Order: sequence, then structure tokens, then C-alpha cells
Amino acid sequence: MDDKDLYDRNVRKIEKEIIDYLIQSPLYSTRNEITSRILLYIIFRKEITQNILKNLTGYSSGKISEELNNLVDSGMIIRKKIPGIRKKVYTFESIEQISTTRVKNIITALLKWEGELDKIKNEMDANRSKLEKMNGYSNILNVIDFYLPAIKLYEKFADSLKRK
Amino acid sequence: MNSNQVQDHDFKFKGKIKDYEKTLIKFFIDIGKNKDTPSKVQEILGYLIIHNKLTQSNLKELTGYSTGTISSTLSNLIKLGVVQKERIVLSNKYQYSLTGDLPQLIERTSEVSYEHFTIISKFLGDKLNELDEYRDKEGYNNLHTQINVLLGGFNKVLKIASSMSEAFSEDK
Repeated sequence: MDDKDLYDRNVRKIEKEIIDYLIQSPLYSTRNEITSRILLYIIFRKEITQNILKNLTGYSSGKISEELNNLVDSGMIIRKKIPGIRKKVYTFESIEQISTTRVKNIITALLKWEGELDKIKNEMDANRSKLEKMNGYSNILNVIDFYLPAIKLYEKFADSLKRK
Repeated sequence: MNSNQVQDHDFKFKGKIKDYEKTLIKFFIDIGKNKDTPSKVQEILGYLIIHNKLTQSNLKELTGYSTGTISSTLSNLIKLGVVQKERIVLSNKYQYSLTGDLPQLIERTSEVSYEHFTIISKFLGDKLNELDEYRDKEGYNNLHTQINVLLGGFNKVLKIASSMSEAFSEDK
């Protein structure tokens, strides 16, 4: 794979218009723009080098490198070495895999918080007579009472994803 | 004061309850990191989840973000279908709340995703036609293929979202 962007400028323009549109759509507008733009270029190019990403996005090498490392660590994209030249390309397995990995990572983070939320719930129960008169007591309890069982459901869902 | 108004003191928690609130906000921010959602979005959404109804000035005081940041974040959350805006009776102020309770929100997000995927699919279809003008140009084949990969992927992603929503509905 070449480390220069050989795309025709009209094709590149359409590619950019698509990425700009997706980033502004409600599905992506609440996400981190830099991460989304890099991920979308990887999806649309199938394989891309850091240098081409830099030219296409205008982001600094440092920022791109940080984002790529995070995406590789999270399991959403893959880093591959190109034989013969000292460059690496970034690619992905499938859209489904990216999406499944995202869901699994969210569930892992939720599970990490289970103990902390459980601790608050127990404290609130133990000190109920003192705390329940305070403003916000029921608000906090309602959120915890939703998330604690929800984490169990997410865990079940994660297991079903693993089996697929 | 009308019952649907947010009283000024209501959103300020104190002592242990404030500590719990801070922990929950940390929780929302941490979860957001794993879905590429910026802290500001998760923080604003988190306060709405905890408080049910808040005005922009309440959110400004709670988060410390600028009016512009709060306003644009709320506007994106409204477009996503998870937050709604209503005018406070006998006032020029608006209050913001979630469009449903938390389980309903998970279902709603899945429905809204479907709506937006449909709109995006139509846009990508139009772009494929536009791209055909450059079929002999460098990059055409790859972009054409990858747009179709994305379109095919959308359907699979919707299935994952729908099975997640079902997992919650079954357990209700």
C-alpha cells in the first residue's frame, strides 16, 4: 500500500462530504468528532496510513497517533505492518465487529462500577432515617435502583454476544 | 409557582447526597469514554437523569460549562430524541427533561437510531449515484465498495441494538 493519497480529487471530495454529513448527523453529533472522523476514514479507505490520515483530516500527528492507539487498544481497529516499508496501516474487521466491540467495552465499564453503586445503595439503606429527609435522596436512589439491575441485564447481554 | 417549574433551590444537593451525585456523574462520564461520548455530553445527560427536569441556567451552575456549550449539547440530545424541551408556564424559560424513563430511553434510542440510519442510507444511496460520474477515477472502486460495506453494516448494527432493547423488554 502506498503512503500517498492517490485518490482523484472529486472522489476525495465526495468521501469528505459523506464523512462531514455523518459527523453532523444526530447519531454521531454527541460523539467525539476527532475519533469519529478518524474511524470513518478507516472505514471508507478500508486500509489507511497515519500519514494519509494526517493529510485528510488536518489533525496533528500526535493527536492522530493518540486516537489510533486508543482505537487499537479498545479492539475496534487493527494495526498492520506493511512488508517492505517501515509503515503501518490501520484497518478493521467489519462494521458489526466495531459495533459489538463498542457494546462490550461499555458493558465492561458498567461492570467496573457495579461495586461502587452497590456501596452507595447499602450506605443509603443503612442511613435511611437520616438521609431520606435530604433534598435529592430519592433522585439518587432512583438512578441506582435502575442501574444496578440494568448492569446485570447488560452482563447477560454481553454473554449472549460472546456466544455469537 | 406552578408545579412544573424548577424551583431554584431544588437542584442543589448537599452533604452526602451531593457526594453521591458527584460519584454518579463520574460514573456517567466513565461510561461515555467507552462510547466516544465527550464528558460534557455525559455530564449534562447525567444531571438530567438524576434531576429529571433542569433549566439551562441550572445546568450551567451544576456543570460550570458555558451557555453555548450547554445549549448546543442540549440541541444535539434533542435531535437524538433523548431529551425534550418545554416552556415553563408563565415564564420565558425552558426546562429540559428526558423523553421517557430510563428503560423507555433505551428503547427510544434504538427507534431513533433506526430513523437516522434510514435517513443516512438514503443520503449514501444518493452519494453512490453521484460517485458513478467518476467510475474511471482513482479511488472510485474502493469508496463505492466501502459505502456498501457501511450500508450492509448498518443493518447488522440495528439488529444488535434491537436485541439489546429486547433483552431489556423481556426482563421488565
